[in-house]
Amino acid sequence: MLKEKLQEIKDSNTNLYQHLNNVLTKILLDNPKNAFELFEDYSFQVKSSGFSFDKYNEFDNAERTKISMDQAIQQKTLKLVNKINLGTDEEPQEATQTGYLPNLTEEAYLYEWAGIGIDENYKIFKALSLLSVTKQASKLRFWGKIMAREKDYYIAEGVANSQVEDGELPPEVEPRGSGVNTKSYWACTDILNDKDWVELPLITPQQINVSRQIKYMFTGNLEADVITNPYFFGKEKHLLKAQIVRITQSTVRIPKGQYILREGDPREIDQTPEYKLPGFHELKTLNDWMHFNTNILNCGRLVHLIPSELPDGVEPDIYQKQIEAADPFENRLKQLSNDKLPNNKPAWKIRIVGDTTDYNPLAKDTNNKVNNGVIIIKSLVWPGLVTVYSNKVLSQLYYGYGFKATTNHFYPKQPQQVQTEQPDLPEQPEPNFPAEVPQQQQD
Amino acid sequence: MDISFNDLKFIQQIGQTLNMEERIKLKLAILKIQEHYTFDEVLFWGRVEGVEKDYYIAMGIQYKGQYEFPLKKFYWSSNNYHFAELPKYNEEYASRADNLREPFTGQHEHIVFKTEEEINFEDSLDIPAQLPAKHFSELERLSYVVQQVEFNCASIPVGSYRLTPTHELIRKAFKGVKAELKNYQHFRVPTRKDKQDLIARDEALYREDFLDSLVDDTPNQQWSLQADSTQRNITLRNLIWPGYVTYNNDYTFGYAYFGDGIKNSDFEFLL
Repeated sequence: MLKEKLQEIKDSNTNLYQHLNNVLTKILLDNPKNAFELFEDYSFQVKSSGFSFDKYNEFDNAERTKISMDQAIQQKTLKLVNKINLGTDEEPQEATQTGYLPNLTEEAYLYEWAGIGIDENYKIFKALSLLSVTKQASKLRFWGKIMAREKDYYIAEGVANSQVEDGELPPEVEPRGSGVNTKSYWACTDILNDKDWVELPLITPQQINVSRQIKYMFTGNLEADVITNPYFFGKEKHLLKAQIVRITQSTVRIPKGQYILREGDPREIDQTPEYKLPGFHELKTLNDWMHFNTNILNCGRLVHLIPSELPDGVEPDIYQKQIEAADPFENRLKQLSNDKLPNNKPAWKIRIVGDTTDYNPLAKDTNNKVNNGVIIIKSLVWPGLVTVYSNKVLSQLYYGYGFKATTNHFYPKQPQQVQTEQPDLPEQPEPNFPAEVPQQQQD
Repeated sequence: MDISFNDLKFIQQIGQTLNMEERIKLKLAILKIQEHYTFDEVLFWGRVEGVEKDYYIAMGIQYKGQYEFPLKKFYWSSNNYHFAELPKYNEEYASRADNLREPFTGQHEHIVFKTEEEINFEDSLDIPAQLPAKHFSELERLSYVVQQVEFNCASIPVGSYRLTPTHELIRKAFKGVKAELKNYQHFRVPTRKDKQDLIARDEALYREDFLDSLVDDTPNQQWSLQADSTQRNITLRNLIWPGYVTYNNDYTFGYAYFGDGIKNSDFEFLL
């Protein structure tokens, strides 16, 4: 009875019963301490804002869509985790052979000491195993994560299946398997979706050179256009590959002595015979490490290009020397302590963390002490690049936006001046010769 | 972030974390801050990496008794895990500090740039005495970076705090928001006129978006909202200060800064 009475007292939008319900709901939700004093305020607010308790979704909660979204994601995660155990595709098959894949979960423990966290490392590991099986890639490893504006890229490095054909390549592009295109890289933005791994394309020296001049923040879409000045010929996936190659070529590090220069050809290296990875104490300073890869030359390749047609009168050997003098190689196996940034600051920082006490080994007959310390080397030229070493495990990772450390502000190159058009010559009337008078014939 | 460090999994999305030793020592050191000044909450703010040593920053927040916005106090420590109050930086050099691109060295007395300040005593009759110029030290640079990041980036989801009728902030039972930029707001004294009006008219008591919204930040693309593969752990990253993360799950939220303290001033050119 009372309810109907209250419902009869109406306004245009609502009735008194509804209104009282709304006011009381709001007060209960907000729970202010002096609700008594604020009661009229609440009533006024509810009237003016039109709060209605049955349409209450204050937090834009969307609880139900979350639950259904959850189910889809759980399905995908299960599929990812189970697939490699059951074989690819839905039918269980025999476990196929895969190339070597470092155990990411164990390495993640080392990286935690370095202050680098790899989220969801088990899922990444599974996704990489799947990649190894589906694309028959060998020597696969998790290269790192490049963060972008909308979605991040997870990058895997490896050697692709040799049966991939590339077709005709222009002569200055180093073919797959040599030069800057030695290793192949795959990028993916969604690790739950195994079809998402895209192999990054081969890159040209021109692309490398342009990538040295621009600074671009990736968007997360591999096919996006890269609009910069100077113009970058390619899509985001080319630029991504170029940055990855630049980072890798200049930062892979190995302990000193693991490789030696080949005699007769100082640009090639061989593994030192009978080399054992040193213990903790021998690698504590920057002097104990050296670069592994060659530097990218100014022309954007790893090896100079000798054109097949030389200018007249020039011997091939002399021509080669000329090119090399113009664009010299850097020595291979350089030590890290010699690297400096342009403003003469150090280019690497080395830290030691963890438990650094020497323990006597379990087996009584070896002399080597066990040391669980972790050596971390971080690059200051490419911030985000980390190498960790502990107990004979050496690993490297990149987590960053793909920028090189810059000491100056970045100003994009100004486009070239567009010259003004020459003013048109004023129009002149066509010369009209008077009609020709035929010459009189001579007799 | 909370010093139980349960939320580190969010920070791992940008590839940073704290190792075991750091976690244990920081927890003890931050609890020690409460011995001198009792705050409502003492949180771990972040880590600024330097070449030789890193800096750890903690933040104490006092809600009760503060009108309009809680009081925040910052504490810093180096690798010795002994927290001290973060001093104020010299404001005249703030704009120069903004453009620095070198990493922090880790030595807090290191002089970042020399200032030519001469302080003359005017009441001295003969020769004005000059104090030696006080150079801009790395500690001041750290203080500047912390204040800048806190002002420009610190953000919380809408609906997480409420303004009480006495204009104090209290935390609410938080139920999660949809992952959109408009659902986040700055955790600072409102600077934008429309929000200040709301508070002046007391209407802010009834709304949950009474602080400056992130959507109005210019340039708007500096915020990057991403989720991990479970789509439940959301991180909101700032691209001008890379390393800053606001994270949010259904029931927890927080923010932290894990980076090298260098502002990405070229951001406008990168789009």
